[in-house]
Amino acid sequence: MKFWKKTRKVNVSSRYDKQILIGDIGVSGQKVLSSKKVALIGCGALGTNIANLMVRAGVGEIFLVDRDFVELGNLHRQVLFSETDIGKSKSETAALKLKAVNSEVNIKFLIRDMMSSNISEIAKGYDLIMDGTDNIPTRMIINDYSIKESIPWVYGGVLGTGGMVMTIVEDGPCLRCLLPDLPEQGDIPTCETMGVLNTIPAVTAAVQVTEAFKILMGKDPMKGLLQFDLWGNNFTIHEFMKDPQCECCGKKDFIYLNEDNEEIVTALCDGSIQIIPSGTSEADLKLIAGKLKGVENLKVNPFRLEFEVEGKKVTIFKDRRVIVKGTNDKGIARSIYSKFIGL
Amino acid sequence: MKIFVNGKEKIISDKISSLHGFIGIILKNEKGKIIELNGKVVKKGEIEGISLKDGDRIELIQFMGGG
Repeated sequence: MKFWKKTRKVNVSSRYDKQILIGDIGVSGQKVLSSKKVALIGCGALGTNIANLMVRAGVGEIFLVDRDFVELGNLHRQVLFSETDIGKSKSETAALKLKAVNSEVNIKFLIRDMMSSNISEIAKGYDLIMDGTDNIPTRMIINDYSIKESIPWVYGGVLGTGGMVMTIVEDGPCLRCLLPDLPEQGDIPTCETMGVLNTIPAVTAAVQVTEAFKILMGKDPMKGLLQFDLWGNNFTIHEFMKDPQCECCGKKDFIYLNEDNEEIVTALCDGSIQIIPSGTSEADLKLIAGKLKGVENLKVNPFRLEFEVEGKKVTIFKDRRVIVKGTNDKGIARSIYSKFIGL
Repeated sequence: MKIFVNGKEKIISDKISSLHGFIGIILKNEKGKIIELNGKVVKKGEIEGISLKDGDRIELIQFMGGG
């Protein structure tokens, strides 16, 4: 009873009773949380789980950013969407659902891709950036911006029956200490080729959000990279060192914020979309072809790889240029590129 | 020579004295993985110049990009 009086006096809603009981949080921690603003990039499997937990926990503001639309194949793991949402915007639908869950939280949304050209517009003034993205280049943009502007971020990634989480703060190590060389096109398996168990994004997001709470309430976050495989009963924290020569957190050379390095996505005259990735290396077309799953009419020769997926014809050339036929939507083309080609 | 790969002990021939040799010969299918040697991430360009020694700890980490 004494507890009730205490919570009412400081005007903290009783919806957070169980959270306030945690010694390290208390009323003061809850009040801090309710004053913090979080930008969430990506509202897919990780993003919907993250948003759900953060809004229920009573963060002050959350900004949901995603250009994608809900599909049937999303429903097994993207927890804020239902069958009637198919075809609707992910960020807007998630925002509407969550407003009904907790009206005390300021929930904003944006139906757009986050890129180097707009990250400042999106994330400026936020206390933390949460990663709900599905590709490495977008994470590298977040990483550079985070280190440059001293805004912490929490990376999360999933694949098959495993997940990863790493919290990045100003002093590093950062994602570029972990990935100093961008993997070659097709070297990284994706959820489209390897699948993903629906428990994995839930667990990964739960760890990411716990990290977020610690950062927002001034506690020490986890050090290193957490990697787990729930099917293989394996949990490991890789405590790797910061690279003093890291281009990002060491030398402060923020190449991914340079719009000239951004992949070039162009609508062609025939109604298809061309994607020219940044970098100059050549694609290993045979390797990429060997990893593709769930695609039709796969053909590969030394110069190009062709396949059909989701009603679109995709052609990848030796110089890594990609053409997606059957859509004039740049976002859809980028999404197919990320999902099936792997960066 | 005894080394540890992802926490597990592995005995390798002394003929495989470099990290490059180890990755190239023993682990043909590890393309795209992050290589960490004794707590330090190894850049692609550094692999050839690194010699392995008894007791080294190598972590091979598959980066996960899905979300």
